Amino acid sequence: MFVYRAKGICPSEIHFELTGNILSNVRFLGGGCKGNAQLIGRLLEGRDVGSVTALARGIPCRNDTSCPDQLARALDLAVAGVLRPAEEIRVFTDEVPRSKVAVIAELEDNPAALAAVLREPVDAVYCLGGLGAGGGETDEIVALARRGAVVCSQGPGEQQGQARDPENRAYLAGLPHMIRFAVGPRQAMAFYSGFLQEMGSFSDYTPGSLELLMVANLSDYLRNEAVFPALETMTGQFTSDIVLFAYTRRWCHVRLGKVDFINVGPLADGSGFRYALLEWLEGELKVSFPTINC
Amino acid sequence: MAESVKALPKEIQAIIEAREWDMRTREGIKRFNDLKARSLPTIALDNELVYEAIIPPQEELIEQIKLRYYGQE
Repeated sequence: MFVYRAKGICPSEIHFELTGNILSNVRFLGGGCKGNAQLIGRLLEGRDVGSVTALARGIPCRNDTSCPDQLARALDLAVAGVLRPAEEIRVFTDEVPRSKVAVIAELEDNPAALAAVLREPVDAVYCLGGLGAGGGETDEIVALARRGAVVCSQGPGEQQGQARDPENRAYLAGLPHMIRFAVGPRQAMAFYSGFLQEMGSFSDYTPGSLELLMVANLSDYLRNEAVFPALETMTGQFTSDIVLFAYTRRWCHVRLGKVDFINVGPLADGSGFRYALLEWLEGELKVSFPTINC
Repeated sequence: MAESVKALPKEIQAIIEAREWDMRTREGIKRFNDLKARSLPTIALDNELVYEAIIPPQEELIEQIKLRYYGQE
């Protein structure tokens, strides 16, 4: 997928795909006339780049450019190799509804800690990132996570592919950037941190971005309580009821509006192993941070 | 909020330059944080946070704009 930061027009981004010379999935995001933009996308589906740029280049609207003109510029850059395809933000959706789950993060090369969590009576274990620390135990903990069917999202460490074993490295590299799952009727979204914004394909307008930006950029991972009133207002636009993240090494649960925000700290915490437990009990979500003594 | 600005009389529109930030974007959030705002909606005049969590009555907003505009002359 290509992401072009448009200039001088209502939409701030143009997304598209190129297969050879054939254009597909053209989308204008961040403003402008949604209906016209969708029509343009449909009309251009499957057309070759040359015919599209000839048609679109130079059309004026505002600021000496227009949506089609900006698309033509984006295609020129893509064809010239200046605009490169960006790695897509991968989102894994666990389709199995759960009633009791464990969420962990920052395992830091501690297979014993992961093994302890895998023995807990829960339906599923989700890991937000930080499986390994690049030390000697990384391959062991990655192998254990794979065997235990832990659903992991990618943190910065996983992105760097810290494992030595090629299969484990490939596993880490292919992990999703975000995880969606359900606890009872409540929809959860989980990610490691705002580092995903550094990816070229990150867009303010794709599903999940709003939750991530509100956590990372607005509230500084819930550390800036002064903005909680604004955060609560913005939860009205969320598509998730539960937002989980890691990164700060803090344990924290705050409910604002209809949304539960959960900051998951490091698994090895003090004298025990700690995780976030989410349970659907008697018609409501219960959140706790139990410790497994070791 | 933008509607309350658009609804201002022409003579006021003539002396202001209005800009709206989208809180769903990184740019909008940065602007919000730069202003040290806490609630939504927010109106800043001359980069100063003036209204938070309320849409002011039009007369009051006009008064605040005039205060700043004519106070600068």
